[in-house]
Amino acid sequence: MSNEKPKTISSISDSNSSSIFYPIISIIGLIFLWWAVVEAFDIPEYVLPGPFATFHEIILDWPELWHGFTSTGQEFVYGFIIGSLVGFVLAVIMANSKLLNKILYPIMIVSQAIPVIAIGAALVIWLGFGLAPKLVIIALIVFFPVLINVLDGLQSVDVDMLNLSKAMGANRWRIFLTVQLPATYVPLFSALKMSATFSVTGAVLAEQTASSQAGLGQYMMAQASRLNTKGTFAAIILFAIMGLLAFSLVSVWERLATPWKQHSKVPFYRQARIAHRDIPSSQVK
Amino acid sequence: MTEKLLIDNVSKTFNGKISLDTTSLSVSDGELITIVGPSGCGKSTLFNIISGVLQPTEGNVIINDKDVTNVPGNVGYMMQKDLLLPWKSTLENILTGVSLTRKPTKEDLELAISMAQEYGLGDYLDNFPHSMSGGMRQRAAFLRTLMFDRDVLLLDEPFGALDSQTRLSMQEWLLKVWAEQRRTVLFVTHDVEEAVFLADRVVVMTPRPGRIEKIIDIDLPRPRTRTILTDQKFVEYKRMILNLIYGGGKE
Ligand SMILES: Nc1ncnc2c1ncn2[C@@H]1O[C@H](COP(=O)(O)OP(=O)(O)OP(=O)(O)O)[C@@H](O)[C@H]1O
Ligand SMILES: [Mg+2]
Repeated sequence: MSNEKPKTISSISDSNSSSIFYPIISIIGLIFLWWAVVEAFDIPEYVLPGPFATFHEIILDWPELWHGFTSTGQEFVYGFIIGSLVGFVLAVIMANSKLLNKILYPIMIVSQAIPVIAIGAALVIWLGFGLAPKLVIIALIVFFPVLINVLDGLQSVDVDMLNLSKAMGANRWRIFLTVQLPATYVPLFSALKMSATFSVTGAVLAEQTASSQAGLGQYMMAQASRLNTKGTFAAIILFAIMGLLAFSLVSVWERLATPWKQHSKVPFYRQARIAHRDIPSSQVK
Repeated sequence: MTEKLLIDNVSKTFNGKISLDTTSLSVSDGELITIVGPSGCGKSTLFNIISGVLQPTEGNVIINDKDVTNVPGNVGYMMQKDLLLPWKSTLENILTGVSLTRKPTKEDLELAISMAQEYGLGDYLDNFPHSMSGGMRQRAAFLRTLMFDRDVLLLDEPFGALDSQTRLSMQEWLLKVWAEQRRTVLFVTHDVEEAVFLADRVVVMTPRPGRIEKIIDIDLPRPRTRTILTDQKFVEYKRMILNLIYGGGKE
C-alpha cells in the first residue's frame, strides 16, 4: 500500500537559475544582430542607427527621455491596473449571471471592434487632454484579454466541485473564494502577460490621440517629425525596456501565485509543521 | 437499531424523463449499505438528492428524524471523481471540508495530520495533487470526507478508478475505519463482489426508469477478510445479484 512513489516534476523547478540566463543571451544576440546588419549593409544613421549610436543618444538626451519614460510608465501602470481590475470584475459578474452575460458580451465585442484611435478621438472631446482619456484607452486594450481568460477560468470549474462544496455546507461566497477564484489564476496570468505588452502599445496610441504632455510617445513623434532617427530609436528602445520590465514583473508574480504549476510541493510557509511531533514509526517505508 | 436515514418516496424527473422513480429506503444507525446497478440507473442522482445538492421532484430525506430535503451540509459526500483542488496540498485538501464552513483549528490540523499519517499519506502532506498517484489522491479525497465529520457517508464509486490490488486493501481499510468509527455508509459501486464484501445490505437498482429492484440482506460474519471471497455463501450472493442486474435468471 505504501510502495507507490509520487511522480515529481522537480526537473521543471530546477530551471530557476537558467530562467534569467537565456532571455539575457537572446537579447544580447538581438542587439548584436542589429549591429551586424547596420555594419554589414553600411546603413546610414538617418535610416537605421546602430545600437551604439542609439545608446549614445539615450545618454545624451537622458533627462528628457527619463521624464517621458516615467510619465508614460505612470499612464501604463494605472491603465494596466484599471483595465485588469475592470476585466476581472466584469468576468466575475458575467460568470455569475447568465442574463448579464448575454447582455454584456456583445457590448464587450463591440468595444474591441471599434478602432481605439476612433474611441480616442471621442474621448479627447469628452475628457480633454489630461490623464483620463489615456487611462481609458489603455484600460480598453487591457481589459479584454483579462475578461475572456478569467471568464474561461471561472467557467472551467467542475460543476461537481461546486456541488460538492455545496454539499459540505459552504455558502456562495466561500465557494467563490475557495474553489472559483484560485481557478482563475492560471488563465488570469496568461492574460496579464499579454496585456503587459499590449498596454505599452496602448500607451503610445493614447499619447498619439490624446496627449499634450511630455510622454515617451510624444517624444518619439516629435523626433520622427524632425527626421531624427536616433531619437526615434532611443524612444523605441525605452518602450521595449518598459514592455520587458512589465512582462518580467508579471512573470515573477505568476510564479509566486501559482506554485502548483512548477513544483510538486507547496512553498515552505504552507508546509505542515510536524517537526515538533514524534513521527510514529508506523510510517511504513 | 435506530433509524439514521430515511429516503421517503423520493423521485427525480429531468426534463420530463424519469431518472429516479419513486424510491424509499430506511437505513439504520451504523449500517453499511452498498448500491449496485448499471450506468444511468440513478445512483448518483439519489446521492445528490440525499446530500441536499439536488432538489427531488417528489419526496423527502430524513436524517436523525429531521427533514433535510434540499438542506446541504448534513452528510459526508465523496463523488466519483476525487475533485481535489490542484492548488492545495494534500493536507490543505483534506481540510477543505472544514475550511469551507469555518476556520480550521489547531485540533483540526493535528487530526488531519495524524489521519494522513495513519493512512499512508504522511510523506505527501505537502504535495500538490498532480504529483500523486491515483490511489493516493483517492485516499486524500476519502480523508477529506472523513474530516468533514458527519455520521452519514455517501461514497460514490470511491475505488472505481483503482487497480484491483489497491482496491482490495482500500476495501479492507474502509471496513476497518467503519468498524472503528461506526458511521453510517452508503456506498455505490459497479463491482458486485465489492458490494457483497462490504455490505450489511445490497441495494440492487435497475434503469429505465431508475428504481430499486431488490434489497438483499448479506448474512455473512464480520469482521470479513479476503478469504470470504471464495466462501460458498458469498458466491451464491454474487450470483443472485448478477442475475438481478443482467436478468440471467432463466436457466
Ligand atoms: N443534471 C441532469 N440533467 C439531465 N439529466 C440528468 C442529469 N443528471 C443525471 N441525469 C440523467 O439521469 C440518469 C441517471 O443518472 P445518474 O448519474 O444518477 O446515473 P448513475 O447510476 O450514477 O450512473 P453511473 O453508474 O454511470 O455513474 C441518466 O440517464 C442521466 O442522463
Ligand atoms: Mg454515477
